[in-house]
Amino acid sequence: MLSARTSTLRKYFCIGEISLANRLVYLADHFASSLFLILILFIFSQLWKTVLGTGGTIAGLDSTRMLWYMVFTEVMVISTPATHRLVSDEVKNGDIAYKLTRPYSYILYYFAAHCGEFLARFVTNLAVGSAFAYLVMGPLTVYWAGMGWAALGLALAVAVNFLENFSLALLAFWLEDNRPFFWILSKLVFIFGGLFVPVEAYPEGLRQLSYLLPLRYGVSAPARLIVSFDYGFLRQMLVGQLIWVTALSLVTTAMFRKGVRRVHVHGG
Amino acid sequence: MFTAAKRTLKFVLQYVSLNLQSAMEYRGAFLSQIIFMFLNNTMLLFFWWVLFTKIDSLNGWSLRHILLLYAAASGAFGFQAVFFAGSLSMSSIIAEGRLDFYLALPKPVLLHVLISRSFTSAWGDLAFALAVFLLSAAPTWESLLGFIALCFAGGIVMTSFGVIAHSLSFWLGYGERLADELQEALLSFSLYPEGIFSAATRIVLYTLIPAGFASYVPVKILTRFSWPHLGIMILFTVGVALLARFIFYRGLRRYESGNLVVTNS
Repeated sequence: MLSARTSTLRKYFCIGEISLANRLVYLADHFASSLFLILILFIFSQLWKTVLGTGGTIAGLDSTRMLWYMVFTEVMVISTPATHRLVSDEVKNGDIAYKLTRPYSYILYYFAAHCGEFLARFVTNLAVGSAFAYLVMGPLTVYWAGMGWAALGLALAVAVNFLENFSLALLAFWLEDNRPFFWILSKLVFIFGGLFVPVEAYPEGLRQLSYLLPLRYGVSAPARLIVSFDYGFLRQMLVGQLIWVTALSLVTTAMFRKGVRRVHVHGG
Repeated sequence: MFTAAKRTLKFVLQYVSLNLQSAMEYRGAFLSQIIFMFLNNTMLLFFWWVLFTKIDSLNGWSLRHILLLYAAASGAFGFQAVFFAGSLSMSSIIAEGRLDFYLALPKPVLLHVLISRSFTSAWGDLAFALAVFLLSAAPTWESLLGFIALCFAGGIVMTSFGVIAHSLSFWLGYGERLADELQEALLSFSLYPEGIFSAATRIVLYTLIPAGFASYVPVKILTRFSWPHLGIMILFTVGVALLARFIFYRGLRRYESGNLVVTNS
Protein backbone atom coordinates (compact mmCIF):
# COMPACT_ATOMS: atom_id res chain seq x y z
CA MET A 1 0.00 0.00 0.00
CA LEU A 2 2.75 2.38 1.10
CA SER A 3 4.87 1.32 -1.82
CA ALA A 4 2.01 2.06 -4.25
CA ARG A 5 1.65 5.57 -2.82
CA THR A 6 5.40 6.16 -3.03
CA SER A 7 5.34 5.00 -6.61
CA THR A 8 2.42 7.37 -7.41
CA LEU A 9 4.20 10.29 -5.79
CA ARG A 10 7.38 9.46 -7.67
CA LYS A 11 5.43 9.47 -10.93
CA TYR A 12 4.24 13.04 -10.41
CA PHE A 13 7.65 14.06 -9.13
CA CYS A 14 9.14 12.76 -12.39
CA ILE A 15 6.57 14.73 -14.42
CA GLY A 16 7.55 17.88 -12.52
CA GLU A 17 11.23 17.09 -13.04
CA ILE A 18 10.76 16.67 -16.80
CA SER A 19 8.87 19.96 -16.96
CA LEU A 20 11.69 21.67 -15.01
CA ALA A 21 14.34 20.15 -17.30
CA ASN A 22 12.40 21.33 -20.37
CA ARG A 23 12.43 24.88 -19.08
CA LEU A 24 16.09 24.80 -18.04
CA VAL A 25 17.00 24.26 -21.69
CA TYR A 26 15.70 27.78 -22.32
CA LEU A 27 17.42 29.36 -19.31
CA ALA A 28 18.96 32.20 -21.32
CA ASP A 29 15.54 32.93 -22.77
CA HIS A 30 14.10 33.16 -19.26
CA PHE A 31 16.75 35.69 -18.23
CA ALA A 32 16.09 37.73 -21.38
CA SER A 33 12.37 37.81 -20.64
CA SER A 34 13.14 39.32 -17.23
CA LEU A 35 13.78 42.69 -18.89
CA PHE A 36 10.20 43.76 -18.28
CA LEU A 37 10.63 42.92 -14.60
CA ILE A 38 13.66 45.22 -14.41
CA LEU A 39 11.74 47.98 -16.17
CA ILE A 40 8.80 47.88 -13.78
CA LEU A 41 11.08 47.54 -10.74
CA PHE A 42 13.11 50.53 -11.89
CA ILE A 43 9.97 52.67 -12.19
CA PHE A 44 8.73 51.61 -8.77
CA SER A 45 12.12 52.08 -7.11
CA GLN A 46 11.95 55.71 -8.23
CA LEU A 47 8.31 55.99 -7.19
CA TRP A 48 8.81 54.62 -3.67
CA LYS A 49 11.95 56.71 -3.13
CA THR A 50 9.92 59.81 -4.04
CA VAL A 51 6.79 58.90 -2.09
CA LEU A 52 8.34 57.42 1.04
CA GLY A 53 11.76 59.09 1.13
CA THR A 54 13.84 57.87 4.06
CA GLY A 55 11.29 57.63 6.88
CA GLY A 56 7.86 57.14 5.28
CA THR A 57 5.93 53.89 5.27
CA ILE A 58 2.88 52.42 3.56
CA ALA A 59 1.14 49.57 5.41
CA GLY A 60 4.19 49.42 7.67
CA LEU A 61 6.68 48.99 4.82
CA ASP A 62 9.42 51.51 4.03
CA SER A 63 10.67 52.21 0.50
CA THR A 64 13.20 49.35 0.54
CA ARG A 65 10.65 46.80 1.76
CA MET A 66 8.05 48.12 -0.70
CA LEU A 67 10.38 47.42 -3.60
CA TRP A 68 11.29 43.97 -2.27
CA TYR A 69 7.58 43.30 -1.74
CA MET A 70 7.05 44.06 -5.41
CA VAL A 71 9.95 41.80 -6.39
CA PHE A 72 8.11 38.87 -4.80
CA THR A 73 4.60 39.73 -6.06
CA GLU A 74 5.79 40.35 -9.62
CA VAL A 75 7.98 37.25 -9.63
CA MET A 76 5.07 35.15 -8.37
CA VAL A 77 2.80 36.44 -11.13
CA ILE A 78 5.18 36.41 -14.08
CA SER A 79 6.57 33.00 -13.11
CA THR A 80 3.14 31.37 -13.16
CA PRO A 81 3.04 29.26 -16.34
CA ALA A 82 0.10 29.53 -18.73
CA THR A 83 -0.94 25.92 -18.00
CA HIS A 84 -4.57 26.99 -18.25
CA ARG A 85 -4.12 27.81 -21.96
CA LEU A 86 -2.90 24.28 -22.68
CA VAL A 87 -5.83 22.81 -20.77
CA SER A 88 -8.35 25.12 -22.50
CA ASP A 89 -6.96 24.17 -25.90
CA GLU A 90 -6.94 20.46 -25.10
CA VAL A 91 -10.54 20.58 -23.96
CA LYS A 92 -11.63 22.56 -27.03
CA ASN A 93 -9.80 20.56 -29.69
CA GLY A 94 -10.42 17.19 -28.06
CA ASP A 95 -6.79 16.28 -27.36
CA ILE A 96 -7.82 15.73 -23.77
CA ALA A 97 -9.09 12.31 -24.89
CA TYR A 98 -5.49 11.12 -25.33
CA LYS A 99 -4.56 12.19 -21.80
CA LEU A 100 -7.59 10.57 -20.20
CA THR A 101 -6.43 7.11 -21.20
CA ARG A 102 -3.04 7.47 -19.56
CA PRO A 103 -2.25 6.10 -16.10
CA TYR A 104 -2.28 9.37 -14.19
CA SER A 105 -4.69 11.91 -12.80
CA TYR A 106 -5.25 14.66 -15.36
CA ILE A 107 -5.31 17.38 -12.70
CA LEU A 108 -2.26 16.12 -10.81
CA TYR A 109 -0.35 15.66 -14.06
CA TYR A 110 -0.80 19.33 -14.89
CA PHE A 111 -0.13 20.39 -11.32
CA ALA A 112 3.21 18.55 -11.35
CA ALA A 113 4.14 20.02 -14.75
CA HIS A 114 3.02 23.46 -13.55
CA CYS A 115 5.26 23.23 -10.47
CA GLY A 116 8.30 22.17 -12.50
CA GLU A 117 7.96 25.07 -14.93
CA PHE A 118 7.13 27.51 -12.15
CA LEU A 119 10.32 26.57 -10.30
CA ALA A 120 12.54 27.30 -13.30
CA ARG A 121 10.83 30.63 -13.96
CA PHE A 122 10.69 31.59 -10.29
CA VAL A 123 14.40 31.02 -9.68
CA THR A 124 15.54 32.99 -12.75
CA ASN A 125 13.08 35.85 -12.20
CA LEU A 126 13.88 36.02 -8.50
CA ALA A 127 17.61 36.10 -9.24
CA VAL A 128 17.15 39.01 -11.65
CA GLY A 129 14.64 40.88 -9.46
CA SER A 130 16.65 40.42 -6.26
CA ALA A 131 19.89 41.51 -7.90
CA PHE A 132 18.18 44.65 -9.17
CA ALA A 133 16.48 45.46 -5.84
CA TYR A 134 19.74 44.84 -3.97
CA LEU A 135 21.68 47.20 -6.23
CA VAL A 136 19.05 49.95 -6.20
CA MET A 137 17.62 49.80 -2.68
CA GLY A 138 20.06 47.67 -0.71
CA PRO A 139 19.59 44.36 1.06
CA LEU A 140 16.36 43.14 2.60
CA THR A 141 16.60 42.36 6.29
CA VAL A 142 15.10 38.90 6.48
CA TYR A 143 13.93 36.95 9.54
CA TRP A 144 15.72 33.75 8.54
CA ALA A 145 14.14 31.60 11.25
CA GLY A 146 10.77 32.16 9.59
CA MET A 147 11.81 31.47 6.02
CA GLY A 148 10.80 27.81 6.22
CA TRP A 149 7.23 28.97 6.95
CA ALA A 150 7.52 31.52 4.15
CA ALA A 151 8.56 28.73 1.76
CA LEU A 152 5.49 26.75 2.82
CA GLY A 153 3.38 29.85 2.19
CA LEU A 154 4.91 30.21 -1.29
CA ALA A 155 4.20 26.55 -2.08
CA LEU A 156 0.57 26.93 -1.02
CA ALA A 157 0.36 30.16 -3.03
CA VAL A 158 1.48 28.23 -6.13
CA ALA A 159 -1.30 25.71 -5.46
CA VAL A 160 -3.91 28.48 -5.00
CA ASN A 161 -2.86 30.18 -8.25
CA PHE A 162 -2.82 26.89 -10.15
CA LEU A 163 -6.29 25.90 -8.94
CA GLU A 164 -7.77 29.33 -9.74
CA ASN A 165 -6.50 29.14 -13.30
CA PHE A 166 -7.21 25.46 -13.78
CA SER A 167 -10.83 25.73 -12.66
CA LEU A 168 -11.36 28.61 -15.10
CA ALA A 169 -9.67 26.60 -17.87
CA LEU A 170 -12.14 23.76 -17.27
CA LEU A 171 -14.97 26.13 -18.16
CA ALA A 172 -13.95 25.24 -21.74
CA PHE A 173 -16.10 22.10 -21.28
CA TRP A 174 -19.15 24.35 -21.27
CA LEU A 175 -18.09 27.59 -22.97
CA GLU A 176 -16.76 28.21 -26.47
CA ASP A 177 -14.45 31.00 -25.33
CA ASN A 178 -13.26 31.22 -21.72
CA ARG A 179 -10.55 33.83 -22.34
CA PRO A 180 -12.53 36.77 -20.86
CA PHE A 181 -12.52 34.97 -17.50
CA PHE A 182 -8.71 34.91 -17.45
CA TRP A 183 -8.66 38.57 -18.34
CA ILE A 184 -11.01 39.34 -15.46
CA LEU A 185 -8.93 37.15 -13.13
CA SER A 186 -5.72 38.99 -14.06
CA LYS A 187 -7.38 42.32 -13.25
CA LEU A 188 -8.74 40.99 -9.97
CA VAL A 189 -5.23 39.77 -9.09
CA PHE A 190 -3.97 43.28 -9.77
CA ILE A 191 -6.44 44.72 -7.26
CA PHE A 192 -7.31 42.04 -4.69
CA GLY A 193 -4.02 40.20 -5.12
CA GLY A 194 -2.15 43.36 -4.08
CA LEU A 195 0.29 43.26 -6.98
CA PHE A 196 1.71 46.77 -6.49
CA VAL A 197 0.85 47.57 -2.87
CA PRO A 198 -0.04 45.29 0.04
CA VAL A 199 -3.79 45.02 0.49
CA GLU A 200 -3.25 46.23 4.07
CA ALA A 201 -2.84 49.70 2.53
CA TYR A 202 -6.37 49.64 1.08
CA PRO A 203 -9.40 51.31 2.65
CA GLU A 204 -11.01 49.04 5.26
CA GLY A 205 -13.85 47.62 3.13
CA LEU A 206 -11.57 46.66 0.25
CA ARG A 207 -8.99 45.23 2.63
CA GLN A 208 -11.57 42.97 4.24
CA LEU A 209 -12.84 41.83 0.86
CA SER A 210 -9.26 41.01 -0.17
CA TYR A 211 -8.89 38.87 2.94
CA LEU A 212 -11.99 36.89 1.99
CA LEU A 213 -10.99 36.19 -1.62
CA PRO A 214 -8.32 33.65 -2.65
CA LEU A 215 -6.29 36.11 -4.76
CA ARG A 216 -4.41 37.69 -1.86
CA TYR A 217 -3.28 34.25 -0.65
CA GLY A 218 -1.63 33.58 -4.01
CA VAL A 219 0.30 36.85 -4.35
CA SER A 220 0.29 39.53 -1.67
CA ALA A 221 0.27 37.48 1.54
CA PRO A 222 3.43 35.38 0.98
CA ALA A 223 5.30 38.42 -0.39
CA ARG A 224 4.32 40.49 2.61
CA LEU A 225 5.34 37.70 4.97
CA ILE A 226 8.83 37.48 3.46
CA VAL A 227 9.53 41.22 3.65
CA SER A 228 7.95 41.70 7.08
CA PHE A 229 7.69 38.44 8.99
CA ASP A 230 5.07 38.16 11.70
CA TYR A 231 3.73 34.98 13.32
CA GLY A 232 0.19 36.35 13.67
CA PHE A 233 0.16 37.21 9.96
CA LEU A 234 1.62 33.79 9.14
CA ARG A 235 -1.18 31.98 11.01
CA GLN A 236 -3.90 33.98 9.25
CA MET A 237 -2.25 33.40 5.87
CA LEU A 238 -1.79 29.64 6.30
CA VAL A 239 -5.38 29.19 7.49
CA GLY A 240 -6.66 31.17 4.49
CA GLN A 241 -4.42 29.29 2.07
CA LEU A 242 -5.43 25.86 3.39
CA ILE A 243 -9.12 26.77 3.23
CA TRP A 244 -8.80 28.00 -0.34
CA VAL A 245 -6.63 25.09 -1.52
CA THR A 246 -9.23 22.68 -0.12
CA ALA A 247 -12.21 24.58 -1.52
CA LEU A 248 -10.66 25.10 -4.96
CA SER A 249 -9.49 21.47 -5.12
CA LEU A 250 -13.04 20.28 -4.48
CA VAL A 251 -14.47 22.70 -7.05
CA THR A 252 -11.84 21.76 -9.65
CA THR A 253 -12.34 18.02 -9.12
CA ALA A 254 -16.12 18.35 -9.32
CA MET A 255 -15.86 20.47 -12.49
CA PHE A 256 -13.47 18.00 -14.09
CA ARG A 257 -15.66 14.97 -13.29
CA LYS A 258 -18.75 16.69 -14.60
CA GLY A 259 -17.02 18.18 -17.63
CA VAL A 260 -15.24 15.06 -18.75
CA ARG A 261 -18.62 13.33 -19.21
CA ARG A 262 -19.28 15.80 -22.00
CA VAL A 263 -16.26 14.64 -24.02
CA HIS A 264 -17.28 12.84 -27.21
CA VAL A 265 -14.59 10.80 -28.90
CA HIS A 266 -15.14 10.40 -32.62
CA GLY A 267 -11.88 8.67 -33.47
CA GLY A 268 -9.85 9.69 -36.48
CA MET B 1 2.22 68.84 -54.47
CA PHE B 2 -1.25 69.72 -53.14
CA THR B 3 -2.86 67.05 -55.32
CA ALA B 4 -0.36 64.43 -54.14
CA ALA B 5 -1.08 65.29 -50.49
CA LYS B 6 -4.82 65.11 -51.16
CA ARG B 7 -4.42 61.73 -52.85
CA THR B 8 -2.33 60.39 -49.95
CA LEU B 9 -4.91 61.63 -47.43
CA LYS B 10 -7.67 59.94 -49.39
CA PHE B 11 -5.62 56.73 -49.44
CA VAL B 12 -5.17 56.89 -45.65
CA LEU B 13 -8.85 57.58 -45.04
CA GLN B 14 -9.87 54.68 -47.25
CA TYR B 15 -7.64 52.34 -45.26
CA VAL B 16 -9.04 53.68 -41.95
CA SER B 17 -12.55 53.12 -43.25
CA LEU B 18 -11.73 49.58 -44.44
CA ASN B 19 -10.06 48.68 -41.14
CA LEU B 20 -13.06 49.98 -39.22
CA GLN B 21 -15.54 48.12 -41.43
CA SER B 22 -13.49 44.96 -41.07
CA ALA B 23 -13.47 45.29 -37.26
CA MET B 24 -17.20 45.99 -37.17
CA GLU B 25 -17.98 42.92 -39.21
CA TYR B 26 -18.22 41.12 -35.87
CA ARG B 27 -20.04 43.81 -33.95
CA GLY B 28 -20.30 41.91 -30.67
CA ALA B 29 -16.56 41.17 -30.59
CA PHE B 30 -15.81 44.77 -31.60
CA LEU B 31 -17.84 46.21 -28.73
CA SER B 32 -16.61 43.71 -26.16
CA GLN B 33 -12.97 44.42 -27.02
CA ILE B 34 -13.56 48.14 -26.61
CA ILE B 35 -15.34 47.66 -23.29
CA PHE B 36 -12.66 45.30 -21.96
CA MET B 37 -9.88 47.72 -22.88
CA PHE B 38 -11.78 50.58 -21.28
CA LEU B 39 -12.16 48.56 -18.06
CA ASN B 40 -8.53 47.45 -18.22
CA ASN B 41 -7.31 51.04 -18.27
CA THR B 42 -9.75 52.06 -15.55
CA MET B 43 -8.37 49.35 -13.27
CA LEU B 44 -4.85 50.71 -13.74
CA LEU B 45 -6.05 53.89 -12.08
CA PHE B 46 -6.94 51.89 -8.94
CA PHE B 47 -3.30 51.92 -7.79
CA TRP B 48 -3.11 55.70 -8.03
CA TRP B 49 -6.39 56.10 -6.19
CA VAL B 50 -5.02 54.00 -3.31
CA LEU B 51 -1.72 55.90 -3.34
CA PHE B 52 -3.42 59.30 -3.25
CA THR B 53 -5.44 58.24 -0.21
CA LYS B 54 -2.02 58.20 1.53
CA ILE B 55 -0.41 61.30 0.02
CA ASP B 56 -1.57 64.71 -1.22
CA SER B 57 0.95 65.32 -3.95
CA LEU B 58 3.77 63.55 -5.75
CA ASN B 59 6.48 66.10 -6.48
CA GLY B 60 3.82 68.55 -7.66
CA TRP B 61 1.65 65.91 -9.36
CA SER B 62 -1.89 65.59 -8.01
CA LEU B 63 -4.40 62.83 -8.80
CA ARG B 64 -5.89 65.14 -11.45
CA HIS B 65 -2.48 65.37 -13.16
CA ILE B 66 -2.22 61.58 -13.08
CA LEU B 67 -5.66 61.29 -14.68
CA LEU B 68 -4.58 63.69 -17.42
CA LEU B 69 -1.35 61.71 -17.84
CA TYR B 70 -3.36 58.53 -18.37
CA ALA B 71 -5.70 60.34 -20.75
CA ALA B 72 -2.76 61.66 -22.81
CA ALA B 73 -0.82 58.37 -22.84
CA SER B 74 -3.90 56.25 -23.65
CA GLY B 75 -4.92 58.71 -26.34
CA ALA B 76 -1.45 58.65 -27.91
CA PHE B 77 -1.29 54.86 -27.84
CA GLY B 78 -4.88 54.70 -29.10
CA PHE B 79 -3.98 56.81 -32.13
CA GLN B 80 -0.94 54.66 -32.83
CA ALA B 81 -2.78 51.35 -32.47
CA VAL B 82 -5.91 52.40 -34.37
CA PHE B 83 -4.37 54.33 -37.26
CA PHE B 84 -0.71 53.21 -37.45
CA ALA B 85 -0.71 49.74 -35.92
CA GLY B 86 1.81 48.54 -38.51
CA SER B 87 4.40 50.25 -36.29
CA LEU B 88 3.67 47.64 -33.61
CA SER B 89 4.59 44.62 -35.72
CA MET B 90 6.97 45.77 -38.46
CA SER B 91 9.87 43.54 -37.38
CA SER B 92 8.19 40.34 -38.43
CA ILE B 93 7.14 41.91 -41.76
CA ILE B 94 10.76 42.88 -42.41
CA ALA B 95 12.37 39.66 -41.15
CA GLU B 96 9.96 37.36 -42.99
CA GLY B 97 10.30 39.19 -46.29
CA ARG B 98 6.68 40.32 -46.30
CA LEU B 99 7.58 43.87 -47.37
CA ASP B 100 7.44 42.64 -50.97
CA PHE B 101 3.69 43.19 -51.02
CA TYR B 102 4.11 46.89 -50.16
CA LEU B 103 7.11 47.43 -52.43
CA ALA B 104 5.18 46.24 -55.46
CA LEU B 105 2.44 48.85 -55.03
CA PRO B 106 2.62 52.51 -56.16
CA LYS B 107 2.11 53.97 -52.66
CA PRO B 108 4.56 55.28 -50.02
CA VAL B 109 5.95 52.07 -48.51
CA LEU B 110 6.31 53.20 -44.90
CA LEU B 111 2.90 54.87 -44.74
CA HIS B 112 1.29 51.83 -46.35
CA VAL B 113 2.87 49.45 -43.82
CA LEU B 114 1.76 51.67 -40.93
CA ILE B 115 -1.88 52.08 -41.91
CA SER B 116 -2.45 48.54 -43.14
CA ARG B 117 -3.00 47.28 -39.59
CA SER B 118 -5.41 48.42 -36.89
CA PHE B 119 -6.05 47.11 -33.38
CA THR B 120 -9.74 46.98 -32.61
CA SER B 121 -9.23 47.09 -28.84
CA ALA B 122 -7.39 50.42 -29.19
CA TRP B 123 -10.74 52.12 -29.85
CA GLY B 124 -11.24 51.39 -26.15
CA ASP B 125 -8.03 53.31 -25.38
CA LEU B 126 -9.34 56.29 -27.35
CA ALA B 127 -12.72 56.13 -25.59
CA PHE B 128 -10.95 55.87 -22.22
CA ALA B 129 -8.70 58.85 -23.02
CA LEU B 130 -11.68 60.98 -23.95
CA ALA B 131 -13.73 59.95 -20.91
CA VAL B 132 -10.89 60.58 -18.45
CA PHE B 133 -10.11 63.94 -20.04
CA LEU B 134 -13.75 65.00 -19.80
CA LEU B 135 -13.86 63.93 -16.14
CA SER B 136 -10.54 65.40 -15.01
CA ALA B 137 -10.50 68.69 -16.88
CA ALA B 138 -13.19 71.35 -17.13
CA PRO B 139 -13.35 70.99 -20.88
CA THR B 140 -14.29 73.63 -23.40
CA TRP B 141 -14.53 72.97 -27.13
CA GLU B 142 -11.10 74.57 -27.57
CA SER B 143 -9.45 72.46 -24.87
CA LEU B 144 -11.11 69.31 -26.22
CA LEU B 145 -9.77 69.99 -29.71
CA GLY B 146 -6.37 70.78 -28.19
CA PHE B 147 -6.44 67.49 -26.29
CA ILE B 148 -7.26 65.50 -29.42
CA ALA B 149 -4.48 67.27 -31.33
CA LEU B 150 -2.00 66.52 -28.50
CA CYS B 151 -3.04 62.86 -28.45
CA PHE B 152 -2.49 62.73 -32.19
CA ALA B 153 0.96 64.32 -31.79
CA GLY B 154 1.76 61.85 -28.99
CA GLY B 155 0.57 59.07 -31.29
CA ILE B 156 2.99 60.26 -33.98
CA VAL B 157 5.82 60.21 -31.41
CA MET B 158 4.92 56.65 -30.35
CA THR B 159 4.53 55.54 -33.97
CA SER B 160 7.88 57.04 -34.95
CA PHE B 161 9.57 55.38 -32.00
CA GLY B 162 7.98 52.09 -33.03
CA VAL B 163 9.23 52.51 -36.61
CA ILE B 164 12.78 53.19 -35.38
CA ALA B 165 12.69 50.25 -32.95
CA HIS B 166 11.32 47.81 -35.54
CA SER B 167 13.61 49.11 -38.30
CA LEU B 168 16.51 47.72 -36.29
CA SER B 169 15.45 44.40 -37.83
CA PHE B 170 16.98 45.58 -41.12
CA TRP B 171 20.36 45.37 -39.39
CA LEU B 172 19.80 42.82 -36.60
CA GLY B 173 17.71 40.27 -38.45
CA TYR B 174 14.83 39.16 -36.24
CA GLY B 175 14.60 42.04 -33.74
CA GLU B 176 10.95 41.73 -32.78
CA ARG B 177 11.57 41.00 -29.13
CA LEU B 178 13.89 43.99 -28.70
CA ALA B 179 11.45 46.27 -30.53
CA ASP B 180 8.54 45.05 -28.42
CA GLU B 181 10.47 45.65 -25.22
CA LEU B 182 11.48 49.15 -26.33
CA GLN B 183 7.85 49.95 -27.10
CA GLU B 184 6.76 48.46 -23.79
CA ALA B 185 9.31 50.69 -22.06
CA LEU B 186 7.97 53.79 -23.83
CA LEU B 187 4.38 52.99 -22.89
CA SER B 188 5.26 52.10 -19.29
CA PHE B 189 7.26 55.29 -18.70
CA SER B 190 4.45 57.33 -20.29
CA LEU B 191 2.09 56.15 -17.54
CA TYR B 192 4.20 57.32 -14.59
CA PRO B 193 4.70 61.00 -13.69
CA GLU B 194 8.07 62.47 -14.56
CA GLY B 195 8.22 63.92 -11.03
CA ILE B 196 9.33 60.55 -9.66
CA PHE B 197 12.34 60.21 -11.95
CA SER B 198 15.88 61.47 -11.38
CA ALA B 199 17.40 64.12 -13.65
CA ALA B 200 19.44 61.54 -15.56
CA THR B 201 16.36 59.39 -16.19
CA ARG B 202 14.42 62.43 -17.36
CA ILE B 203 17.09 63.16 -19.96
CA VAL B 204 16.57 59.65 -21.32
CA LEU B 205 12.79 60.14 -21.23
CA TYR B 206 13.03 63.27 -23.35
CA THR B 207 15.45 61.76 -25.87
CA LEU B 208 16.09 58.02 -26.26
CA ILE B 209 12.74 56.80 -24.90
CA PRO B 210 10.57 59.86 -25.60
CA ALA B 211 7.83 59.28 -23.01
CA GLY B 212 8.17 62.99 -22.23
CA PHE B 213 6.66 63.87 -25.59
CA ALA B 214 4.08 61.10 -25.52
CA SER B 215 2.50 62.25 -22.27
CA TYR B 216 4.46 64.64 -19.96
CA VAL B 217 4.63 67.65 -22.28
CA PRO B 218 0.97 67.22 -23.39
CA VAL B 219 -0.05 67.27 -19.69
CA LYS B 220 2.01 70.43 -19.14
CA ILE B 221 0.33 72.07 -22.14
CA LEU B 222 -3.10 71.06 -20.87
CA THR B 223 -2.55 72.26 -17.31
CA ARG B 224 -0.25 75.31 -17.78
CA PHE B 225 -0.33 76.28 -21.42
CA SER B 226 2.81 77.94 -22.74
CA TRP B 227 3.93 78.61 -26.29
CA PRO B 228 7.48 77.27 -25.72
CA HIS B 229 6.04 73.91 -24.62
CA LEU B 230 3.77 73.81 -27.65
CA GLY B 231 6.66 74.79 -29.93
CA ILE B 232 8.93 72.09 -28.49
CA MET B 233 6.14 69.52 -28.83
CA ILE B 234 5.59 70.36 -32.51
CA LEU B 235 9.32 70.47 -33.27
CA PHE B 236 10.00 67.14 -31.60
CA THR B 237 7.02 65.45 -33.24
CA VAL B 238 8.05 66.55 -36.70
CA GLY B 239 11.73 65.83 -35.99
CA VAL B 240 11.20 62.28 -34.69
CA ALA B 241 8.80 61.48 -37.56
CA LEU B 242 11.43 62.57 -40.10
CA LEU B 243 14.12 60.61 -38.27
CA ALA B 244 11.94 57.48 -38.29
CA ARG B 245 11.30 57.91 -42.01
CA PHE B 246 15.02 58.36 -42.67
CA ILE B 247 15.99 55.27 -40.67
CA PHE B 248 13.30 53.11 -42.27
CA TYR B 249 14.29 54.01 -45.84
CA ARG B 250 17.99 53.68 -45.01
CA GLY B 251 17.27 50.21 -43.65
CA LEU B 252 15.08 49.37 -46.64
CA ARG B 253 18.22 49.46 -48.82
CA ARG B 254 19.41 46.40 -46.88
CA TYR B 255 16.09 44.57 -47.28
CA GLU B 256 16.20 41.24 -49.03
CA SER B 257 13.08 39.66 -50.45
CA GLY B 258 12.27 36.21 -49.16
CA ASN B 259 10.36 35.30 -52.34
CA LEU B 260 7.56 34.52 -49.91
CA VAL B 261 4.09 33.96 -51.27
CA VAL B 262 1.62 35.21 -48.66
CA THR B 263 -1.93 36.39 -48.41
CA ASN B 264 -2.24 39.74 -46.64
CA SER B 265 -5.31 39.43 -44.51
